[in-house]
Amino acid sequence: MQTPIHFRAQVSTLLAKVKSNLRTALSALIVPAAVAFAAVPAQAQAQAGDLLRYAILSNPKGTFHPTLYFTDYDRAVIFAVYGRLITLDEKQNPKPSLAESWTYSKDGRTLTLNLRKGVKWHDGKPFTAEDVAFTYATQAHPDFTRDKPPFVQLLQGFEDYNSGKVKTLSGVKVLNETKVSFTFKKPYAAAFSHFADRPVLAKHVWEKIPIKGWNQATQQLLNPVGTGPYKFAEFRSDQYVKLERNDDYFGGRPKIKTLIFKISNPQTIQNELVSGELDIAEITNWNDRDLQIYQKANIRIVEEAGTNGQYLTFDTRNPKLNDKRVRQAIIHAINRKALVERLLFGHGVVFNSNAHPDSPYYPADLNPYNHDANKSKELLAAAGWKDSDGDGVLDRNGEKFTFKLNVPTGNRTRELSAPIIQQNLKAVGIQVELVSADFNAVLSILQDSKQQYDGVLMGGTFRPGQYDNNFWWERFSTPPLTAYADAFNSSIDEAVLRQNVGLWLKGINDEAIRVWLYVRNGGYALGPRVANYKAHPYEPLNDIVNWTVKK
Amino acid sequence: MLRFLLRRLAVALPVLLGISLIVFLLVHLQPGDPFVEMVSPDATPEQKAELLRSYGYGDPIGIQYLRWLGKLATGELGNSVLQGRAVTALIGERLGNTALLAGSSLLLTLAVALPLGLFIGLRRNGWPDILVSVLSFALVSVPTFFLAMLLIKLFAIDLRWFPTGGVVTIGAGHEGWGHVRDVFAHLVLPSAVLALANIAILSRYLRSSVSELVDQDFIRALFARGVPLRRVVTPHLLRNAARPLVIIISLEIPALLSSALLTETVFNWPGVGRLSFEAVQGRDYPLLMGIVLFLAVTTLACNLLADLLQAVVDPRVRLVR
Amino acid sequence: MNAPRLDLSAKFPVKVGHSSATGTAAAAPAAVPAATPKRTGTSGKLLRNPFFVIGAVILSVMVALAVFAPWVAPFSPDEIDLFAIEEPPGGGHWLGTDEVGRDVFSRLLFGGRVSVLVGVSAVALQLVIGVALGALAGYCGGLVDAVVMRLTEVVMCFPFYAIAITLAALFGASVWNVILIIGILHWTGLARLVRAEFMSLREREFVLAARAIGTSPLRIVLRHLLRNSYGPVLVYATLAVAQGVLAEAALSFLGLGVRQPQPSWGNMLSAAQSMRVLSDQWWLWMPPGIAIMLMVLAINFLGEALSSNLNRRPARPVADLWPRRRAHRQP
Repeated sequence: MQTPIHFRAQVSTLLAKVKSNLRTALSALIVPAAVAFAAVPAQAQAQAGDLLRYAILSNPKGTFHPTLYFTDYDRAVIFAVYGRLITLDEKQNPKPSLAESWTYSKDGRTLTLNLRKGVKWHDGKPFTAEDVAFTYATQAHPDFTRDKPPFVQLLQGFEDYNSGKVKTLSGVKVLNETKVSFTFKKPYAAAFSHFADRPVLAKHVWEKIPIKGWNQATQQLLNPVGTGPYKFAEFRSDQYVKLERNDDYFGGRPKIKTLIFKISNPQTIQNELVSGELDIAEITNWNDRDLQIYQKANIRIVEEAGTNGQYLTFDTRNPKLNDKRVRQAIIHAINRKALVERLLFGHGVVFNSNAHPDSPYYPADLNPYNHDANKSKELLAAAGWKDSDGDGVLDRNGEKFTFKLNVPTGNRTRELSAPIIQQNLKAVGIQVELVSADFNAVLSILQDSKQQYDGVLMGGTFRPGQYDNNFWWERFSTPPLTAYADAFNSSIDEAVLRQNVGLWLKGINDEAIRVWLYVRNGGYALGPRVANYKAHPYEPLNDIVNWTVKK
Repeated sequence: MLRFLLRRLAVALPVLLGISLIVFLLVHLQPGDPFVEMVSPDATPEQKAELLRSYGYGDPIGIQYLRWLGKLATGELGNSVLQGRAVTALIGERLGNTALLAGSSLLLTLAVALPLGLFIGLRRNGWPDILVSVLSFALVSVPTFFLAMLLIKLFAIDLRWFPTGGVVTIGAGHEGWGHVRDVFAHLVLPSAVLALANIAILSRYLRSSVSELVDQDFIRALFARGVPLRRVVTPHLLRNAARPLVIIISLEIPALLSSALLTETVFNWPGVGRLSFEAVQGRDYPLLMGIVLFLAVTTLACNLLADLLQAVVDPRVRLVR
Repeated sequence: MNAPRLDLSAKFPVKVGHSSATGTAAAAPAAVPAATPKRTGTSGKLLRNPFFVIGAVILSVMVALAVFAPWVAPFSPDEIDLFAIEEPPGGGHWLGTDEVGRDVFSRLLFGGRVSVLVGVSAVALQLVIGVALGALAGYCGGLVDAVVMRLTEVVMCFPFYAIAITLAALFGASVWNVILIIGILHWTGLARLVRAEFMSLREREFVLAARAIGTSPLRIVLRHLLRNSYGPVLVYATLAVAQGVLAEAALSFLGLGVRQPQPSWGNMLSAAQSMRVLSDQWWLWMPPGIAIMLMVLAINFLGEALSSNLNRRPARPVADLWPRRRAHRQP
C-alpha cells in the first residue's frame, strides 16, 4: 500500500513535470510571439518613399469596367486606371483630358471632340477615336447589361440601334483617328457630365467579347487596361488593390510609384491612420474629438464642399402628403440648421433644392424653409389637419397623422438624424414611427413605384451638370417642371440653361417634393507622409500625378 | 462502420436539400434585390424591372429554385450577380484566410488549455484553480467583439505590438519567410480573441474530467501498484480525459467558421464570414447560396467526423444511427 | 434510483461548438461527464453555494432595476437634447449623455429591460421548440427520431449571422424579431440534450413499469421523463439566457439587433467601435459593457451552482493528491 509520504514525493515529481510542461507550452508560445514582435518593426517603420496607401471604405465588386461599374469603390480604382475625355475643374466645368478641345455644330446638336494625339493604352496599343465611339455606343446596345443612361437615349438613332434594327449607332461617328462626333436629337449640354462619369475603355480588349457576356468576363474585368496615371497590378479581394505608375501617362509622370487602395471600413480608418497603416482616408465623421485625435497624431485635415446630399423623400401620391402645404409644413418643422450644427458639428450646409448650393445655376431666391414650428402648424391647419381631440396628434376626418419613416442602416449620422426628426415632427403634432431596415431593402422601396410609403431617409451624390427630371423616388411629375427639364435638355446656350435650370430648381423647391436635410462637407485625413496633396470636390484623384510621399 | 457511413451519407443528401430549400426561400423573400444598387439613379422602374426579368428574377420562386438545383446537379454554383465571378472562385480565395484563422485559434486553444486543464485538475481548489475559474467566468461573459476591441486598443494602438487588422502589411511586399512572419503578426490578436473563451471552457472541462478520473478506482489501483505518477498521467489520465476532446474539436470547427464574421469585421480579416455579410447585404443570391451550401457541407462533415471519432476513441459506444 | 448512469454525455455532449456560434461558450462549463449518481439538490445546499448567492443577488438587482426602470430612470430614454451632446457624467446626467444628448443612465436602465426580455424570451422559445422536439425524438425513437434529428441538423448548419441578417431583413427590426431570430436558430442544443436524457431514462425500470401498466405516453413524458431530466435542462436553459444576452449584443454590433431609437445594451456598446469613443468617452461604452458582463457572469454563476449541485461527488473519501486537511486513509 502506498504511504502518504510516497504519495507526496510522487506528487511533487508530477507537479514538477506538469510545471515544466507548462513552461514548455508557454515557451512554445513565446518564441513565435517574439518572432512576431521582431516582425512588427517592418510595419511600424515608414514605408518606402514610393508608396501611397489610400483607404476605400468597402470591398470593390471587381467590376473594373468604365460603363459597368456601380459602386464608389470600383470607381476609385477605375478613375486611377482609366482616362476620361474630360475631368471637372474646381468650378465643376469640363477640363480637357483625353479630349483636347471640342466644338459644337451650328445647330448645337453635334458635339465634335478633338482627341489628344500619341496616347497609348497600358498594353502599348494606341488610343484612338474608335475607342471613344465604342465605349459610348455599346452603352446603347440591346445586350448591354445595365440600364440605358439618358446620354445614350438622347443620341440620334438610339431607338433603331437599341431594338436591334440596325447594326451601328448613327449618332456616334468616328471622323478620323483623333476626331469623334456625337449627334443628339436635341442640343445636350449634360453630355459632359456623362463623359466625366464614364471613362473610355479599350475597344481592342472588349470587342472580342460579346456584350452580353461582359459581366462575366472575369479575366478582362479584373485586369483593366486603361490610359490613366496608374496601371493595374493586383487585386486581393477584401484586402487591397495595387496599382503601379504609368510612366507614359499623357498628363505627366506620376511622382508616386505605387498606389495602393486599402480596403478598410469607417470604424477602423481612424485606428489605421493613427498607427501609420494608412496614408489618406476620407473623413466620415466630423466629431470634434475625432479631429483632436487626428491633430494629436500629426494628421492633417483637408475640408472641401460636400458632394452628397441627405434627403427625407416623400411619396407624393400618398393621400397624406399630396398636398404641397403639408410637405412644406414638414420642412418648416424640421430644424435642419440644428442637424448641421449638432450632428455635423457645423461641417455642412443646409440646402433647398436638388443641387448643391455652390452649383452654377442655384437660384438665389429659393424658399429657405426656416425652422418655424408655428408656420408649420399654420400650413398643416390650412390643409385640414387639426388636433380635434387634444391628444397632441393632428387628425383629419378621423384619420390620425401618423408618419412611418424608413431609415436605412449603414450611415450613423443619418441614423442619428431620425430620432431628431421624430422629435421635431412631434412638436407640430405628427406622430413619427421609425422603421429601420438595411440599405438594400429601403432603397428598393423607393425604386418600386408600386409601393406606397410615407417617408424615407436616403442620400444621393450630386452629378454636376446633370439635372434629370425624374422623381421616381417621389412618384412626382408636373407639366411645368417637365417643360423646364425638356428645355434645358435641349439647349447648350448658357443663358437658356441658366434660366431653365434655375426655374426648375425653384419649382422643385416650391413643390417641396422632399426635405433637403443637409450636405455634409467632404474631408480627407492626410497622414504625415503625404505631401503636395491637392484635390477638389468630385475629383479626389485628379491631381495625383503631383502628390508625393516622404520617406 | 461502413454501413453507418453509407447510411449517414445517404441521409446527408435530404438534409442538404432541406437547407438549400429553406435558405433559398428565406433569401428570396427578403425585400430588395441585387439590382437595387446596380442601376443608376436615372433608371426608370420599368428599366429596372426589365433587368430583373432578364436575369430570371421575375419567375416564381419555385422555378428559380429548380433552376438553381439543376445547375447544382451539373456541379455549377453559378456566378455572383454583383461581382460577376464564379461563386466557387470567390469562396476559394477567402477560404484559406478563414481556415487559417480558425486553425490557428484551435491550435492556440489546445496548446494552452491542455496543460492548463491538467494542471488545475490535479490541484483542485488550490489558488491556480480559483484564479483560472474566475478568469474563465470573466472571459465567457464578455462579448467577443468587445474583447477584440479592447485588445486592439491595448496591443495595437497603445503598445503598437501588433497591427490593428488585415492579414498582411499592405505595400510592404514581404516574400517567403518574411511573409510568414508578417501573416503571423497579423494572426496573433484575432486568434487570441477566438481562443480565449474556448481556452476558458476547455480547461475547465479538462479540469472536471481530470479530477473525476483521479478519483476513479483504476487510477487509485495504479497508484496502489506503485506505478510512477508520470506513467499514470500520460497514458491513462490524459488519454481518458482528452477522449471527448477530439469530438469537441470536430464540433468546434463549424462553429468557428460560422462565428468568424464578428472577428473578421473587427479585424478587417478577409474571410468567408465577411463575404457572406456582403452577399446578404447586396442580395447576391447565388453567392449566398454557395456559401451556405459550403458551410452546411462542412458542418455535416464535421458532425459525421465527430460521430466516427467517438466510435474509434471509445469502444464502449455503439454507433447508433 | 442511484444506479450509475451510462456515460452518455460523452456521446451527446452539450454542444460546445453550437453555443460558440455567438462567440461565447456559456453552456460548456456545465458539460461535465456525470459519472456519478444524480441527486436533486436540496435548497439548503444551494443557498450555501457562494456561486449561487452572488449570482442570484446580482441578477435580482438587475432584474429589479429593469422592471422598475420607468420609475427609477431620471430622464426619458428618448429625450433628445442637442445642446448636451456627448457630455461626461455630471450635472444631472449620472452617466453622461450620448451623441444626441440622451441620458446614458436612463438608456442603460431601459436597455436592461431589452436584454432581460430578449434573454428570457429567447430561451422560452428555445425551450418550447427544443423540449418538444427533443422529447418527441427521445421518446418515440425510430423514424420520428430520425426526422427530428435531420431537422436539427438542418437548423444547425445555417450560418448564424447570414441567416440572422436575412431574417432581420424579412421580419424587420424590433425586440420581438431579435427574440425570434435567436430562438429559432438556437434550439438545437436543447433538443439534443432532452433527447439524450429521454433516451437514457426510457429504458429505466420505472418507465418500463409505467408503460406496462398502460400509462399514456403523454403522461409518461410529462410525469416521469421530464421530471427526472429537468436538471440538465435547467442548467442548459440558464446558460442559454446568458447566451441570448450575448447574442443580442453581437447582433446589435452588426446593426441587426434592436435599432434606434430603442436602447439596448448591445446597440449602446456598438458605439465603442470608434477609437475615439474607446479612448475618450468611457461613459458611452463602459456602462453597457459592464452591465452585460455582470448579467452574463451572474447567470453563469447560477448555472454553475445548479450544475455542481446536480453533479455532486459521492460522500466517500477521495484520494486527494494534494495533501491537506483531509485525513489519509490508513493502509
